[in-house]
Amino acid sequence: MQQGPLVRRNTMQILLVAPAIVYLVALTQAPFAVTLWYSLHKWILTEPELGRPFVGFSNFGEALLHDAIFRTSILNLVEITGSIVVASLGLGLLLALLLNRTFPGRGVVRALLITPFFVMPTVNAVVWKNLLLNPNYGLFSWATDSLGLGRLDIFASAPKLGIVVMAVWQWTPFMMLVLLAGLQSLPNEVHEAALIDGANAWSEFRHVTLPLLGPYIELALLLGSIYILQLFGEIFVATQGGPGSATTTLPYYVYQTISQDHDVGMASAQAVLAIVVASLIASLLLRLMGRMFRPVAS
Amino acid sequence: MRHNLSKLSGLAVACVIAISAGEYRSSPSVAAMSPSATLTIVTVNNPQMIDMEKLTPEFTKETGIAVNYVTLPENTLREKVTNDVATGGGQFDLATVGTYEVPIWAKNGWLDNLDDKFAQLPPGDAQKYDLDDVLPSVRKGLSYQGHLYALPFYGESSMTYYNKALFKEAGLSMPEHPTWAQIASFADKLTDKSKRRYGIVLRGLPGWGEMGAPLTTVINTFGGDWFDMNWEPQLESPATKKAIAFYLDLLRRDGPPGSESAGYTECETLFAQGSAAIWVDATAAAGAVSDPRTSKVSSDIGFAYSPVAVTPKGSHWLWAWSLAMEASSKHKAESMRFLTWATSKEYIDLVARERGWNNVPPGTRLSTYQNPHYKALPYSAIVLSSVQSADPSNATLNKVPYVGVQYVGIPEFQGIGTRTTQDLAGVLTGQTSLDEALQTAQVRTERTMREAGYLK
Repeated sequence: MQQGPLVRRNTMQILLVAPAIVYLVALTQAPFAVTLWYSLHKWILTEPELGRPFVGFSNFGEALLHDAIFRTSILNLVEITGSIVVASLGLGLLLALLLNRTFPGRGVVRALLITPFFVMPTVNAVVWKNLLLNPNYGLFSWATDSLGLGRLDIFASAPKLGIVVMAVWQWTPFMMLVLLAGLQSLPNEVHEAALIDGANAWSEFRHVTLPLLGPYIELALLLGSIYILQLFGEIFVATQGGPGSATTTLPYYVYQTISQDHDVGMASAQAVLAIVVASLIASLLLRLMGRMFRPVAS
Repeated sequence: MRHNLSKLSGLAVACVIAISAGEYRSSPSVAAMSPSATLTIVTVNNPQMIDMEKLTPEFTKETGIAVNYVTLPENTLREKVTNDVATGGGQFDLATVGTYEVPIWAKNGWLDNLDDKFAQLPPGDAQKYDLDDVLPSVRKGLSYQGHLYALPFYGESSMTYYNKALFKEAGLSMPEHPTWAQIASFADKLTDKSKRRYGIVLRGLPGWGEMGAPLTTVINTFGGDWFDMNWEPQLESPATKKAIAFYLDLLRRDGPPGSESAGYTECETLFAQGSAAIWVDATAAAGAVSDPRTSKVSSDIGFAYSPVAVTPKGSHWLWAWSLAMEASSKHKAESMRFLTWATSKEYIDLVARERGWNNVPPGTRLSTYQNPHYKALPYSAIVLSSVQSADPSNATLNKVPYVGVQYVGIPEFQGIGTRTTQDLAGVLTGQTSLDEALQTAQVRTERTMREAGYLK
């Protein structure tokens, strides 16, 4: 009965939105379509004689079934990203709670705490790798050596931890900012109510602040994960994915395939699989968070 | 939620594509501006190349041709230039390439034949350039099917550097032609980890041009090889395995911590700081470690030939950083002028005048080694004889189907060498065992070789 006007309105809406949609699709989906197309071909840049034959899904089969490092790289990605997100979220929460109080010099402290986020990832990695973590000249190695604990060579003994430490230093301010914004937007009344009800500091935090902070934690987790899944600069500079394949994550492995093997087809297939993995992780995260915070918040 | 998800995957797509494109920005430094042609040259950030960039205004003054430099680290340079030539991008007129790339790229039609270009030069210019003065072994390394495709900017082999003061203190003496067994026993005696003194530094950084280069010379001299005549990978063959085990054990036992991330530059720093007693590496470092401005031990450096084991074949490498003209260049005449300027005798004199004989690009011209100033340097005889005797077409004990001393001259070797040395770095740090690493590398290399059509 009402179909007529509804359709007309819809058509109008679609027409109005169309230019933006077309632009968006062209910008985001066209490169993806090209990547998909390449992933079905065998194309090695340095072997022009082999041509670019169509090979169906064999690149995918190769990556999934026969390439052990591809599987390792997915596990590494999950492990490294997970550790960075959890650690920087925890630290960020602590710092945000501190900064939410009033104390002399708060502005300066806040500015200093935010600074690491504005350092470029490669610069961050160069400084950490050479000035702090270098086993021969680094500050940390000097400290452990002076204490009689021997030299610290973190990129040899625990390379993943080395990457995580650098990235946590960089990403904690981001988490802190999001959570601080959340803390400052919480209404004062609930705190007062909790105090009147006789809650101590911990139970106020546990039962009032944390649940109300839920959406912000969710946001920090989600944005943090999206950004940190792409972590590249630190790995490129500090470990080059090694030693062995200890710090080869999926994005870095795709980069290696294109830059060292010059294998466009395989790199595209890996990139497509990387999208699948990223979407899986994201959907898992969203579902998990829905369960964690929604019932409490509502 | 669905809505969020599609947004997310959009972001993920963008991120992966951006990453897989490996896009990497570098700021080109403009040497000079001129209304006529501007050449774009992509070079590696080695000291000799930095000198070239600094001296380029002389070229611009002489010819009116402006030159634009893009300076990159070695690994990034290879990536960028390979992508540019393979896709016909035409970003660069002249590319800095090595003996590994030249024959492969020439075969693919990515570089211009320089014999033709020399034929077109006015006779006076060709005579002044004197192509016959360029070392024959280097010229051969830069040729494909008998035609020259690049001109060497500097050439190098490998040799042994040692700290004479430390040797004297321990009552040891280095023979002019050491064996690897001698080197290992010296290194064992000279290592004192409590004093932060290490017997030896060798490259442990993954990369076919990093750890891969010295490691392959050790494999050669131990009688091993990368492939047999049927292109079957030989990583688990007794000789090759023994050589790799020797290299890694020596480095673990007597090397500094952090070996897995020490490449050429890091090793040079460690050695020039006096932290290491022996260093086996490129002859091109001789100038820098003898220069008091860059080395703390400049007066104590001793030089010897590269160590050998079972066979002298392939025990020292041959490499020449060279300038080649990309087939897609639009300024060929100007490119040729630059090529013949930067690799000329006059250029070598210019560097000697401006920067001293220690900093002259070595290993390219016979006339350099006939110069009395250069002859007087303590390393010049060893360098010349090493460069001249390195033979990429006869570098292994057994017959092999490939050319190259410290690499295998096939396009797939970049990937194979880099991935394999990555596995071996894992052995250095104790993440994996040697057997495990070699097995992984063997299986992967077999797969690569099958895919590329070498193996049935």
